[in-house]
Amino acid sequence: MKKQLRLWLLLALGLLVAGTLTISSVQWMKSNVSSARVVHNSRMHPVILVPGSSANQERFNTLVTLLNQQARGHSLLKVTVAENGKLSLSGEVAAGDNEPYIVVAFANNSDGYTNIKRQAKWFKTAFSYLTGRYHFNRFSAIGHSNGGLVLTLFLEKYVDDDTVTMNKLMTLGSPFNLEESSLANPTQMYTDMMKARTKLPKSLDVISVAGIENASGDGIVPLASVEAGRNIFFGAVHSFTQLTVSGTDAQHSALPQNQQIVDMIKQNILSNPGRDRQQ
Amino acid sequence: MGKIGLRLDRILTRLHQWWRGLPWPAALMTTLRRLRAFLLFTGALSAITASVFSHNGFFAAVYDLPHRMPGWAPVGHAFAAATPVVWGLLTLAIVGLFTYEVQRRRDIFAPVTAIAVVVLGSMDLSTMRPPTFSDFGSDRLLVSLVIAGFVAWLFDRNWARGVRPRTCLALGVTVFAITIGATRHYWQLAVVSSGVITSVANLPGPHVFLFLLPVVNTLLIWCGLPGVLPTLNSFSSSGWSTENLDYALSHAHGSNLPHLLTLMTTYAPFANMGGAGMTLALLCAVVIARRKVPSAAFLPSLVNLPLPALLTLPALLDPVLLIPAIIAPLVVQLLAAGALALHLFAANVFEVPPTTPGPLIALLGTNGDWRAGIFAVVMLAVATLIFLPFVRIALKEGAVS
Repeated sequence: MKKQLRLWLLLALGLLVAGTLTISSVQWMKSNVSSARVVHNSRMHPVILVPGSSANQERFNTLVTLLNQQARGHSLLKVTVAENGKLSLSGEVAAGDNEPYIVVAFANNSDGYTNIKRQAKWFKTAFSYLTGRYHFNRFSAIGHSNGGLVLTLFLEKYVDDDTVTMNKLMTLGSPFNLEESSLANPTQMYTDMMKARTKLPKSLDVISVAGIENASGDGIVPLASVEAGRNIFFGAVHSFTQLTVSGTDAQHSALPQNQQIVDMIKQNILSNPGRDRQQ
Repeated sequence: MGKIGLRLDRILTRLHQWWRGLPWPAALMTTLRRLRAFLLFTGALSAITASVFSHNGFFAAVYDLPHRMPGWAPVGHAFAAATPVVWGLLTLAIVGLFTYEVQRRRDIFAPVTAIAVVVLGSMDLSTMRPPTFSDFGSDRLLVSLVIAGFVAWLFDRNWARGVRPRTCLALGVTVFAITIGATRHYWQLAVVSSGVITSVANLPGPHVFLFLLPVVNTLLIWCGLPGVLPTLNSFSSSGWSTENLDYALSHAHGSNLPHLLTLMTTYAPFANMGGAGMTLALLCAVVIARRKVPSAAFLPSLVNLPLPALLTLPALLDPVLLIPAIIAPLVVQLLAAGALALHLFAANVFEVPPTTPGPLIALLGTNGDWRAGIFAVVMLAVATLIFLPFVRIALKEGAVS
């Protein structure tokens, strides 16, 4: 009798545990599937812009104005990441805008590999916030100078989630071998990027743009250092294109305003160049 | 029971008697019974590590333990570090005790040599890396048992009497093992082929794989070898499963899936409860046949780890219990394929943690379709009924405890 009672008690307890487990796991699954559906079916495809050293969130104002000239254009959100990872936001992503511009800048915008690595980590913080807030599953990115390096390091070190894909990356005057003008002197950053190149997304299309103001480069970054990007990307990503611009506005800091580059962005990065905001 | 049933019962009983009469299986049964407490501890440790202290563990994911449980990460690291060590020690204990039990002379030289061979033979001299516990863990169990049996046989030879020949034999076998270990890259064919089959399993392919792979997998795992479908496989990485998921996320009603019959829709939610060979159904059958409260062997099987239960019962290498372990998943898979073709419930397309308790996989993988959940419970009952007569034979012979 005692044994039978114990058996019934055990059965009741088992049913109670199983019931609780079933209810909580079904709730968890439904919430998971619901968020996955939002991300999967999202039509948003932002263009994320990352400035180089010494530049702040206003760095791309002219570029965005130029891109938006032909129509009402896309909205602009600016995010600055503080050293403690805190985000300050200005501007907005307009309702119904599927291709907004989002600038991610860093409060600590000093130069040097150590800081670039920290910026890549800060970028990840901002990126996690943006994907959580706007539920996009694909995006394109433009990095000016060290901004291109930050994006490359981000791809190599921090992208472990295949639910969000970077489709296109354009780097403008990004020094993949820092200030070195010859690959005979590879920097630690270049070596690290070469080692981790297999982690770059296989479906990514990369365009690296170099400016030529004088024989050696754009006045600040050596041409050979920009061209070192070919070794990092070629063969590791879907496509890699190396372009050079010369003439007026080919100087390093003028590259984001260079009309040839603006046209290239319209042609290669934007899905709806020069068109009005999608409704 | 009809005439055919009685005859089958007699044949299987005789098969079981013959099997248990062989020296190696008998020694293995004794070894595993003696190590029962160690086995239960190892199984519980593996189950807790995989389901609670792993990022994609069922309890960790559902109850958000990484964020809610204080000290989850350091405790998890300790569990994750301890699990391969305990499995390694368990394998060595099985090897030592089995060698001792299987040899006639009960010479202590033999188990020590067998342990040395298993440890040193797992060394890879090309990398000069000392052996770790994970090198001779659960995946190498059968290989280790074969080595142990061979060493015991050598020590039973007439010429291996006296201290000097035994020392020479121990040294000789150990040096041979080190040589084999050093050149493992050249002969590790089993591992390579297992990898190839695993990649085939993840590829879209003809439906023959759908039923053939689980059979091969059960055979391997129930023999103590690495399976072709890894234990705790999520089954969601194949091209077909991805296309199904893509479709299900885009459509509110996933009634026209691009690939209705895949391992993820037919095998994972219904025929893999408790791990390869529907070990959960085996345990249910044992409970029914013995009319006793389930033992701690249930715990790992609830989170789809089959090996601890196979060792504890013990059902490892048992030819009688292997029959329903092959038949039950096959029958369940066929019934599931039929039910899916008739659109009786939604297909399993959403990835669930691999340690999700058996019947819940179908319920969660269909995003809460209760019909799929009920079908999974029915399938567990069907599989239990298939196991029951075989378990009764094994119990009659005292193989299963």
